[in-house]
Amino acid sequence: MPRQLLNKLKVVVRVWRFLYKYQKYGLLWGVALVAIGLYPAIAAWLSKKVIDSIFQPPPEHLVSWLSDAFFFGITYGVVTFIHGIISTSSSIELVTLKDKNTRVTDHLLMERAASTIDITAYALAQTRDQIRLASMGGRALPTCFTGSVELLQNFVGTISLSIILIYYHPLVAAIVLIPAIPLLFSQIKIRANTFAALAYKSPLYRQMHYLLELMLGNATAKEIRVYRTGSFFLDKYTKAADEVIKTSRDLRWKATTSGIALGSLAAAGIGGAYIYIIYLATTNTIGIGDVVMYGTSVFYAGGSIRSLVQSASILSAQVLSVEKFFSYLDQQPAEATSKESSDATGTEEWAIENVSYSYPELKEKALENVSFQIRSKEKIAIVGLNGAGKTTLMKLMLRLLDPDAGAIRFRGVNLKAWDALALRKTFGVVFQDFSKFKLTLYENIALALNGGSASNHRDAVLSAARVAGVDEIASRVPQGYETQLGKEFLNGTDLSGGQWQRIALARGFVRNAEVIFLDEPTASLDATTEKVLIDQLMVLAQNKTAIIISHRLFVTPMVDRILVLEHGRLVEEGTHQQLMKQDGVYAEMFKTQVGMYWPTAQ
Amino acid sequence: MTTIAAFFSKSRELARNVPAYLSLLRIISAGSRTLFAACLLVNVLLAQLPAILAYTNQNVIDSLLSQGRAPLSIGPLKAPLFLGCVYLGFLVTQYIGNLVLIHLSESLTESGSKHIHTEIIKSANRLEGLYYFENPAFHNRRSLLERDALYIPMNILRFAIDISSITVTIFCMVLLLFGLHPLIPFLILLSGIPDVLAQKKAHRLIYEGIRETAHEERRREYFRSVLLEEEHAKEVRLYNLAGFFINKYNDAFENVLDIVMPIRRRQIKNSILSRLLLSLATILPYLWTIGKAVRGEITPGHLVVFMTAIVVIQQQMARTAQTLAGHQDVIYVMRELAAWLRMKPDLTPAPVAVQVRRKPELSPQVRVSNLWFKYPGSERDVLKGLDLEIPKRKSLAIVGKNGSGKTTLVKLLCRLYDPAQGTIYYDGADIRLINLDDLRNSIAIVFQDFIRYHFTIKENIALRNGADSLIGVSEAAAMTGAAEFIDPLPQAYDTLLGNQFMGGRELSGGQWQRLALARAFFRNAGLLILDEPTALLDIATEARIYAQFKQMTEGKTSLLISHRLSSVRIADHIAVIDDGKVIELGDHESLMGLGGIYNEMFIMQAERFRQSRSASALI
Repeated sequence: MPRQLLNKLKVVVRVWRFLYKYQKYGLLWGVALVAIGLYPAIAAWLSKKVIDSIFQPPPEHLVSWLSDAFFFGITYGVVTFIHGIISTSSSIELVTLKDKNTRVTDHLLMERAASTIDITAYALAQTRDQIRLASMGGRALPTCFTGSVELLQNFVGTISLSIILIYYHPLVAAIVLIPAIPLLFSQIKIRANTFAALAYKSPLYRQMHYLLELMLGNATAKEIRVYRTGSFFLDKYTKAADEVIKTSRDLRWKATTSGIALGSLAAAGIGGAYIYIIYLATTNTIGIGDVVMYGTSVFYAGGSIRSLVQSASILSAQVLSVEKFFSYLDQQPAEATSKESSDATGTEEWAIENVSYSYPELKEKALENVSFQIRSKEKIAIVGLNGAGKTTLMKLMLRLLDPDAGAIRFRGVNLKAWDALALRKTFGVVFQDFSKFKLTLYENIALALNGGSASNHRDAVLSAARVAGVDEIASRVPQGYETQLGKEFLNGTDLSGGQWQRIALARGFVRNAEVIFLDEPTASLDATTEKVLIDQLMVLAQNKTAIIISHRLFVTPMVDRILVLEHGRLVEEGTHQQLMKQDGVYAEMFKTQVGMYWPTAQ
Repeated sequence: MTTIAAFFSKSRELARNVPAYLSLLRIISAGSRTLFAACLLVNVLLAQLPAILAYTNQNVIDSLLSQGRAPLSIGPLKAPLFLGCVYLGFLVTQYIGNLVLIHLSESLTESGSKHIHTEIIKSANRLEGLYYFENPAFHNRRSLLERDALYIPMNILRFAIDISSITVTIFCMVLLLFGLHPLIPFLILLSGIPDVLAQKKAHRLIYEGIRETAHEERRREYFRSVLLEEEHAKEVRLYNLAGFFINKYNDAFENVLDIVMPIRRRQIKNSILSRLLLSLATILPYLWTIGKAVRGEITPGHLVVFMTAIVVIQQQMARTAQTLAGHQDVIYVMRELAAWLRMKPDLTPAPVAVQVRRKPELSPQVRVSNLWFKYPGSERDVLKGLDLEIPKRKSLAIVGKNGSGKTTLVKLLCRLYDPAQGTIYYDGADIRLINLDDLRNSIAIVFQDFIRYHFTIKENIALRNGADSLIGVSEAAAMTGAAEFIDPLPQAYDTLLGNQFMGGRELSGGQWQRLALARAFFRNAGLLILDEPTALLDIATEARIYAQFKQMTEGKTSLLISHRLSSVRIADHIAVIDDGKVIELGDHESLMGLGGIYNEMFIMQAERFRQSRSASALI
């Protein structure tokens, strides 16, 4: 228990250090709020002074022209005013501080998430969950800060009152404080358990969120309406919510029942102290000023102990969440580049050597022992059925994944030895599931240039847009290139699949990169657009290396070489004519395709 | 004068809103009426504690001051000690009561939030069209409610608790202070009013700001999610977009702060002024009391009681300001909730008397007559007088350029919007007169952007629960070739899909598409609509599906949209749409003979294969 407590304390200290680093000025408000924890003690002491100076006037005034009672009375008024101002204004400032903290933690999270070179983390359920928990933890950090301010305020309050009590009468202090300790510890522990249980249940929360998004989101609305599945999902939602409620109800009962027993003990301590004070007064051991001061102190101490327990127990749960955030940030992303073999070997632009890969948690291999080479400016088509490993191969070549075995060399250097940023600058890519960013039309293309800062590349963007036929889209939407895409945002417009695909093509080509990857680049284009675009793209790609992935064979007669993948293995390689002659997998695919246009020719 | 007028109009507005609040309260508490009642009961008991405590305090001091005379005694105990014991009893009650209250209010929050969210979902489910979903204001309100609505029950409870305890406490203290001077309590109370008003106004401004900030906050959350979620991970890395989206995030963040910060600053300024007033109003009577005591006009007991009373009233007034301001927030959220729950349906349902019922499994003859349509908020006509017919149990394919209006037509056939002009008939009945459940149940559809449900395979196909459905599910899966990848899976149809949840399995695009097709075939509906149903499928699977197309659509009216003209040729009829109108109509042979656009498109697409076929003619 003390060890756990120490760890929690370390996290809280780190939160404050964290804030000191990013929000030095804002931190002052936190300090101010902690300081006003002293108010009850000061108020109690001043009341005593007022009463004492009336009934046992000291021989000399503190201020010559004012009686001491008034002096303390005025001081009391001033202190109260300051307390009021600090508490209202700093509670408002604290909200701002909280906002700004949100920004800082979000920044760190976003940077950390984007700093991993590969995307393996997203393929693993465990790391995916880690990112999610860290994201929740990042959001909990500002609350953890305000929680710790509250805790410290109550702590300062309790301690300062205790000091008065200890100074004047240690026994009273002991009677007030000691019975409260078990309550404090048990509530901290129970809250932490509750959090652990609910974090364990977090798939349920996530399911609830998922269902909420499904039922209230824009993209899913039409299918749900036609299939009339609203009540089916609502049912699922209710079930998940019921289970969450049940879990936390059980835990809450535990917290409450133990709280009642231990809370009564704490209350008995405070009441006992009060009775003891009365006893002292009736036996004329203490004066009327002391009665007032002790009475007030004990009364306030009761309140601040109760708040202390509450804020400590809430904080102990938040700390666990914030810990996940810190541990994610601390985890260094895998070594970016390895210096093993940076000396160039071979003359081919690409050398893929015995590459195997399987996705984490899946037994079957996505790629097995694949080897081939690509010359500079060669046009390659990679074909195969669904699940043959085409897209995986492309991800490996882009270093979005690292091979389990074998090596991929680009310009003679192992991909792992390349600086990822420099490497990727040479690539232009159109993914099959390209991103449909809810940005403006212009930004959706321009973001491929210089990490998105393409303000002075307007010509490049517009010419890529023209080639891909985006200028026609721009002429049809209300604000041209400045049109916001995505109807859920102000003045937003939705585009059709084919229109989006043209934007993706423009994005892939705007970089004027040396190596072009096209993964099913025309899946949703109409026949005319497809023909025009493909012809234009082939011209554009003339001085580039182009790797075109498709399960459709429309471009295969136009490329220099075709690679055929089947079940993760490279089974055929050659030109269209060679492969047709070979009469293997490719020829079979091609004949199927031809047969769909000329059924009788079969 | 203006303030008085404002006050009256405020109270009139409040009075007008009372029935709405009451009905909302009913909805909120419906899930947890006993809890709500229990909370209030415990609270009413607790609210009296401060008063009783004050009374005890006074008595203790009075008894102490009467020391000169014979001390009162009750039984074996002297009166002060007895009262101390009473105090102890109350303290224990208060501690326990507080714990119970926390317990109850947490339970209430949980069950209330479930209930409120259920109501939010239900009202969204009642919206049959897409109008609201494509409206930013709908999503602004939604994110606001998702964030704040769950706290409504607890906040109402807390408000009730605070106000009742404040009232009781202040009332007692005012009674005590009467002994000092009848005007003093009212002076303090009056001086607290500016603070209350300032706080209320600030919260109103903040909430008015929230309407604007909600949009920016949604943008901010979107930019954050781009970098944190898998969907965009590839392109973020490829194009090194972290800095770009962080900047976007910052801009959205600044926009929020720009709205909120001036309000907060003013809030601080106002609260300092009003606090100064309240402090002055407190300290003057306080000093006056001290003066009386110094001159010996009041006894020490009175001094202590008056001092306590003045301080307590001041504290309670400050608390009142906070409580009322907090209540203001609740009222705003409730108003948003009320507006959400009152959303008018975007499609007018046919009156029951003239409503047309139809059996979903019957294949309709679909006729589209002179259809005009533009999207809400847009100036451009997408459909311009479109006429079309799909004969009963026949198939029609629609081809046309990107953006020619094909998908829009599909949405109108499902009545996701009502057209501006023109009519759609199912077996001669106006679509707007057909019972909406019957209409939608008559349609099985694969949208171009179909949903990939992160549920089990079985649920993905059946979209309902029930042990009976597995046979139909596996039949549908076999028909679309999905069974091929499902059967080898260890958990077969119970495999959880997608990467949202632990243990979920991600599928390839082609595999998902086969599931979406199975979903449509599982549904026993008379009209089948397929919008680019094989875009993600490889050539072998596609060829197989189209080879079985006739058999799969047997007896059904079907509509196929595709850019692959190889698949379109199978349909009984083909319509070419351009710029919102039908420009060619016929079957494959007749359209090829026509030598129009279809002919041109077909040859363009097939040409590549024809050329290579002749090139490889020797094989």
